[in-house]
Amino acid sequence: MPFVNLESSDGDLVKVDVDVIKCSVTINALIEHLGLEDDNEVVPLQNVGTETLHKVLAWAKHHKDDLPSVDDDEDDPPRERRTDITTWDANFIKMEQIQLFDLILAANYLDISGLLDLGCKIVADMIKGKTADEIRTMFNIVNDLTPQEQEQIRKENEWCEEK
Amino acid sequence: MSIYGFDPVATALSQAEVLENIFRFLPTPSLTACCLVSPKWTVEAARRLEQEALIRLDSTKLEKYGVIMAMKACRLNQQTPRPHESLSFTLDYRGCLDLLSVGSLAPVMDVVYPKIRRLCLEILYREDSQIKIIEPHVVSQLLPFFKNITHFKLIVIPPKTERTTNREKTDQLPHLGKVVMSIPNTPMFNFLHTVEFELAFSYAIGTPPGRLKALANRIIAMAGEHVKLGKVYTKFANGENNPLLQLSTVDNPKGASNSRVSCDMTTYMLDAIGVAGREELHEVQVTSTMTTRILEKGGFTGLRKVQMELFNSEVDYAVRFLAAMKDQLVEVSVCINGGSRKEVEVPVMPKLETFEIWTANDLGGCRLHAVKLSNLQDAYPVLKSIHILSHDIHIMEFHLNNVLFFEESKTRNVKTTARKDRTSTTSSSPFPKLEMVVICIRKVEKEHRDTYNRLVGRVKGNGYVLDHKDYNSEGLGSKF
Repeated sequence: MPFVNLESSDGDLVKVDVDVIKCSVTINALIEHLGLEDDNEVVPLQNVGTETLHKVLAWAKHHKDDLPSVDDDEDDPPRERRTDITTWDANFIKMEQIQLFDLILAANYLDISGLLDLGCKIVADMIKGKTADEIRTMFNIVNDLTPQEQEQIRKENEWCEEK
Repeated sequence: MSIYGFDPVATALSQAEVLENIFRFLPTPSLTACCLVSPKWTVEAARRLEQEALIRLDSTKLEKYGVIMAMKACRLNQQTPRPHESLSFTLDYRGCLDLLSVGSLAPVMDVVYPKIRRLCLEILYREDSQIKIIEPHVVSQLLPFFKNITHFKLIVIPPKTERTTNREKTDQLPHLGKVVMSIPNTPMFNFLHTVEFELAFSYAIGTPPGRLKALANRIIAMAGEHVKLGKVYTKFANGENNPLLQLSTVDNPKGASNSRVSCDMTTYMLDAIGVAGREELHEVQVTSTMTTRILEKGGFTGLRKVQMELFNSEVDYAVRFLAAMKDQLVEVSVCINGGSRKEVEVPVMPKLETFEIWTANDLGGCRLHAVKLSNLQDAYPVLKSIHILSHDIHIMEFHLNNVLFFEESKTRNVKTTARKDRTSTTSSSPFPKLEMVVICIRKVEKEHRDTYNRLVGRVKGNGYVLDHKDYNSEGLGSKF
């Protein structure tokens, strides 16, 4: 079965090579569990819009031949923290904040670790060096913490700031 | 807001998995900022910080709060730090209080610290802390986390103002004894082989506080019941170890114990171990004043080994002690620090098997000729080895002359007899069973090589096996 039909949350069907989308643990599992053998069978992706799905597929197509990630060794920290981003990925990820988070949500839902990491690295870069207030402003997050709670958190994290 | 009617930013940034992934790429300072963004972020960022703390477990000494965070991280992630066999925790007042909150971690610790055998817990007291809260149960709660440890060391460091030689001041330190003394009452010590305590404060020699006496009592009781080796010693403020108080109890297979007591806490220790303890005492490390106290106290029928460290002017103490114990001592080690005086003869000792003489320091190049062995026939009938340790080839020669060869006429006689019939009990030698002479000299200068070779030749020429060990420049202290 070289192809599979993916149905976005908008109801659009996108035919895709199985080899391309094999990076998605979720789709792989759906194909396996649903016993899809016919090219006409449809895999519904209720949490991924058409526009985002195309972006996901573009990324997946480019990384089709990447080596699969190795299972975490128990002696190593899970999923090595790599901060390098290739030029192609850097260009690919240039998008509006809303699109970026849509992509992150899709990657998370489809369980594509490489794409999720890419999106999260970009967000992390946006956060680095900013104060809590600046982060809240950037992402429009309401501050639910009382001053007392914030003071308590600061105290608990004192150990991090000590040499 | 997206075209789908929801805010993907808010949605993504409220999902634990997404936050977790983002935080993986953030350094610690950014994570601490994230902790203050919102309650959801606080949870995830704190979790990541705890993972960072876990990573820090690879260092031998953990930051005080890192310990707690690491423990929580272990619970959360069920991760195993890199294998290592020893951990050193430094805790202050806050750290100790935190320990109280991690009791539920005990089962996890078996998983995350499976290979820990040695644990050093260093508790820092701060002047502004409520010391009374650091009760023994803090330590007691910690220890079950490390079920496999065999060596536990507790270091208690009071604030500088309490490191004093003033009796009134030191009497205000009941907590020091309290921490240590209550530990033996906990059954968890059954699995320990060794417990060491360092009390990092100094006392004026000869004026120990009553508290320490009680402490000694408790530790002795503890050592007998639960551990195979217990040691208490003080540490001066400059970090130098000083065995003002040292007690070791080693269980033998039959369940009896051999004890070793040292230095200026002797009177208190001896009171504490009682008559039975004195009879069992097998080995002592003594200073000059200690020899007097031991002799005054009496009853040391089991004493077999003695190590003495004296100034040259104190050699009379050594001789008096050896004379009093001459019929029972098997091993004698004498270390003399510098000075110059006329010879003093070691008494005849029928059970002496090993004799050792050290010159620990080179004080102005003064020559030592303080101790020599008796040259009476069969004075040491079972003496098997003589150890001479010095930093200077000439002092070595003095010692060899004094303890081994005596004047030349006797030497010739000894030489002949010893070489031909070393097994004979009727030899004219003072030590018919002597087999080995061990010399330890720090360094033989080129111009002294001939002297050294001559000494070696004399030792071998008398039929003795010569063993040459490296001089330990740290002196006698390292032997204790």
